Amino acid sequence: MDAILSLEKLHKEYEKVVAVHSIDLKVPRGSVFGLLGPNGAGKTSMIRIITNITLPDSGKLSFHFQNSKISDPMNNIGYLPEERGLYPEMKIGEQLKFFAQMKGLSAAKAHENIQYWLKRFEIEDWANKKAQELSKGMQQLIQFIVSVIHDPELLIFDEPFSGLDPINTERLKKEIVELSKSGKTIIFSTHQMSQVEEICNEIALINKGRFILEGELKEIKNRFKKNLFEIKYHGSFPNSEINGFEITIKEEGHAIVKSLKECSYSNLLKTLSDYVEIYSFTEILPSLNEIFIEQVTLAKAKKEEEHE
Amino acid sequence: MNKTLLVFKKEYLTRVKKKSFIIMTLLVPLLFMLLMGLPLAMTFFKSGTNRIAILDESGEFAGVFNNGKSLEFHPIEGNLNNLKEELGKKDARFDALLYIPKFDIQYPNGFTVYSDKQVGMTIQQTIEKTLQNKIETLRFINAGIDKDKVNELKVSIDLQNIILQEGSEKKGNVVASIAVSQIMGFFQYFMIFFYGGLIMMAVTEEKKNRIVEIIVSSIPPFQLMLGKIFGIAAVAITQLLIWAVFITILMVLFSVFFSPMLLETAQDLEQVVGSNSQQIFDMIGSIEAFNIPLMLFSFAFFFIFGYLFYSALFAGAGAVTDDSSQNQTITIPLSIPVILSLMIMVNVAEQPHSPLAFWSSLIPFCSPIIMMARLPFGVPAWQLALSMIFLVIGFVINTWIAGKIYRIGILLYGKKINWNDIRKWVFK
Repeated sequence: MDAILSLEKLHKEYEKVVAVHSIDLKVPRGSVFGLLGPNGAGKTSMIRIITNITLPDSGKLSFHFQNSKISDPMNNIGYLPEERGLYPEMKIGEQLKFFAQMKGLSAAKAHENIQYWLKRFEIEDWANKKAQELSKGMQQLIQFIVSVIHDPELLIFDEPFSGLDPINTERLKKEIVELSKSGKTIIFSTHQMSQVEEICNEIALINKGRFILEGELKEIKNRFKKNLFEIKYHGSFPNSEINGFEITIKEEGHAIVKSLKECSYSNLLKTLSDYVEIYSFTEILPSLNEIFIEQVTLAKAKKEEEHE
Repeated sequence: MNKTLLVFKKEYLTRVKKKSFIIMTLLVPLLFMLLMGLPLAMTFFKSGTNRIAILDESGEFAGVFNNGKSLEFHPIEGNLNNLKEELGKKDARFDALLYIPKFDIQYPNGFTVYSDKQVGMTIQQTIEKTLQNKIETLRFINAGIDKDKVNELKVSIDLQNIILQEGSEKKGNVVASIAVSQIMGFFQYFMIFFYGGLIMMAVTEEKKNRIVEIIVSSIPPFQLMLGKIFGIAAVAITQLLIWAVFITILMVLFSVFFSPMLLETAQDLEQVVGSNSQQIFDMIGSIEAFNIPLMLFSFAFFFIFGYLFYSALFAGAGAVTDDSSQNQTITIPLSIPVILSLMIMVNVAEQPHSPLAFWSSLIPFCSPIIMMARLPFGVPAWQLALSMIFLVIGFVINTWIAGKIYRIGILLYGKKINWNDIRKWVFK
């Protein structure tokens, strides 16, 4: 795998609490990588290590960037923290310039990029406004620009949509998709699963400092499917169980079928069409939310068992 | 290091461009000028001379009262009550009426000035002094003593203090030394608190605005802290330089425009208070006798490093709080040594070479204030050097400690941090 970032046995403890538990991870280049987990799972701790804000107790962290001209890896990372803000009394143009230069851009290049982004969001006239004159949503847009202003290869968004109204959420989602299309790698941390399913193609599930699940989103969803199908039909079933299929009727002509063993779609159709006429058929894949809750509960149960 | 410079620049420029900075920088010299100029301006704008009529019923005071620059005395005849009625009228012949009744030389009383408003100090004192002089003379005559002889015999001792140091002799002046000492010490105190407070606010603001996490993903916290401390130091130095330039210009202008008046006022003052102008010249002369380049250098040094020493601590303190009400409790341990220094400073004026003064001028927590307060009294070079070295070492240690507190503190939100936590961060 062509990884842009790899973590090896990364470990971090805070006074008896293990925030990151000897983690191994590879983030594929060009992926939109969802880092999922409940509050306090260790997501932010991990991100803070990746962004060089805190140092790990042990383990290795390596970046494999394509642009070798940028000597400091930090200058090739864009970070939108969950706890974020702006200097209230500084003009937007000046702030963006400051942050761009802090990421190693020359004054001229900073100016160019600022113009590009302000134009892209059609907010050129904000440049001379102070941050405190902007609404919260507007400020969040600026904070997003701060994270991309230096055109980094790796972007890290920690709960990027928290506190955003639906319009700005859509706007930002669109931008993230665009960034991904242009080849950026995006690490996306959240506890809101629906967003992950929309945007991410890779995910890692973290709980209590450990990964309990990681891989391609599609593959994971397949792995945890429960062989459930939704059918719409004419006719009636004689029994609630037919040749290894468990049938739960929701209402007249609408049922959920559970296959008790692995079976092909044609097998299922063949068996059921002996009894009824099927005119709609969909496989029900588990939502990430369900997988997530199941896995977390499982991990908890396992731990308790170990305890006993 | 490049990024430290960026932070430095940002901290400096945003502050220097602020309205409050510009206002304060201009206001202080103006205030200074006002304080210096007001008394003189008042004499300048005073409405002409005061005419004082003298109704002398005793007949002893003919030709005794001499006209001064702003005072004119006229003997007057008439009935006291009639004359009193004239006061305050538009066409009155006088502004005040001095009534001298027939008096008993043993128990002189009943002297009164009538006026329609409160008479000034100068009038009051001039009249009192003249009356006293005349009555004294009368009493001397009655007692058969020659007053001129008495004046001849009077003596005034002026105790000079010559400071022997490194083979040279210097004229000392205790009053001037105390004045310079207290002014410099107090100024240091003010600057440390003001700019220390500023840096703490800057740190807390950044934490409160949740902006710090973005920044520390670009620059290591220690470098960020240094950029801030030095950026604000540069603001302080800029302000100080502007003040120095302004005040110098104002002083020059002042002496050009006002010195004739100043001289007159001094003469007036001499007339009134009867003080010896030699004393005043001595005092001014002894200020010149201070080693001014050394004083200025030391002042700059103790100002800069005193600020740096405390600002590191204030930065650390700012990092562990996220609202300003909590700031106040955390500054208490920081204020104690500063306030203590201020108390010691008063004592230093009385005993500039006591063990208390000596030790406290070496300890970095007090030395910026105490050493400055001791300096006008003369401090051995080795003590000054030692105090400076200690202060620099103290600054390095403080910055190291503050850096550790800062690094962790700025990323902790909404958690109450106690001294135990801080101890752990530092000594981990």
